[in-house]
Amino acid sequence: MRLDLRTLAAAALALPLLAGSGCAAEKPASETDASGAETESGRAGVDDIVLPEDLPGEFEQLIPRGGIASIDEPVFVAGAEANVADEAWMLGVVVGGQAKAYSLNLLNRHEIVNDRSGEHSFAAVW
Amino acid sequence: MYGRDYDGKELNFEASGGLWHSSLVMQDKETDSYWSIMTGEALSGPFKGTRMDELPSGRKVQWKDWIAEHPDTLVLSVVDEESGEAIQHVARNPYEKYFGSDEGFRGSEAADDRLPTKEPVFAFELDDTAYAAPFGGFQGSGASFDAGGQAVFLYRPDGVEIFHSSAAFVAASGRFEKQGDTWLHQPSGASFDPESGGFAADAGDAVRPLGGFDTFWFNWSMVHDRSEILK
Repeated sequence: MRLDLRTLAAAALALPLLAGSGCAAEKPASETDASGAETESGRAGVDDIVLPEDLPGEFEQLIPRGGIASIDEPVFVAGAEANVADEAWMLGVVVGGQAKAYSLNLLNRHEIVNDRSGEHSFAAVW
Repeated sequence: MYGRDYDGKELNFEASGGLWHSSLVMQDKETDSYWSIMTGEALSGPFKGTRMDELPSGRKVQWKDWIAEHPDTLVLSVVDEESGEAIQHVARNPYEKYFGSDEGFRGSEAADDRLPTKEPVFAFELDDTAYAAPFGGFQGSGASFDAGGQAVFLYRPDGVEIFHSSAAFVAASGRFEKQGDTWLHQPSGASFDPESGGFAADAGDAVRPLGGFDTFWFNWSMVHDRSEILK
């Protein structure tokens, strides 16, 4: 498959990185996000972004910031109410005595959940 | 898992939309600083040089195992854009091919050829030294390593998928010892339970979870060019 800028932009939109508590490796694109309707300019405004001068040169802006929306006010249901397949991979955490689980495939869409349990504020990152 | 409180500010992170050495860079919405998961610190912005507060409490597990251990768990629920329904899971995993291939992202290759590009490793930093332990060295039986004078214990069950988290602990004092099929921390005598991936409570403060994560050698070695390899 030819990999061009359009593909990369769509790729980065659709695909977050394996990271955080888990596997910190980048993941390639194998699907196009609904918002991957690329414009002719391909990188959809990425070329206009002015990066800070002190950012290391190897940094590559692939899509505009915000192209992958974090979850800032997460909503939860009780485990007994959840509709999750037995074999599904989850990120499980216990913070402040509260167990929480996040579907890895759902985290693929958002990459980061800005969460809180009691007094502990934390980011679940995949 | 990372803390969000820095310098008295509660930060909200999001993807920057960019990669650094093929790995995730976040930005916080409050100061626009750039934060690298791979180095564990801010690369640029008002927080430049600040270490991320790593919380080694996250674990990737299959749902059936998690709900059995934590019947009181909460589960993230999101509204699916297509159906408008609240969902807690989607079946689609677009990354299966990538994990099965020998190639790095967009042709990336490890510059450091001590290990193959796509070798899965548990990677961590301890006392400012970077370490990488190939899965093969501790999968199945578990293993104890010397990391700059501190004992580190790593374990993965045999035959699990690559998504399954490695268990990782460091002994603040004492050592890890295998007796028969069981790993113990000595002198506390606390035993490791492969099912839960944790040490018995009688280890007290002598055993603590080790920060770090499972990744591929090329990702880690591109950022840490003098990583020690634990085999």
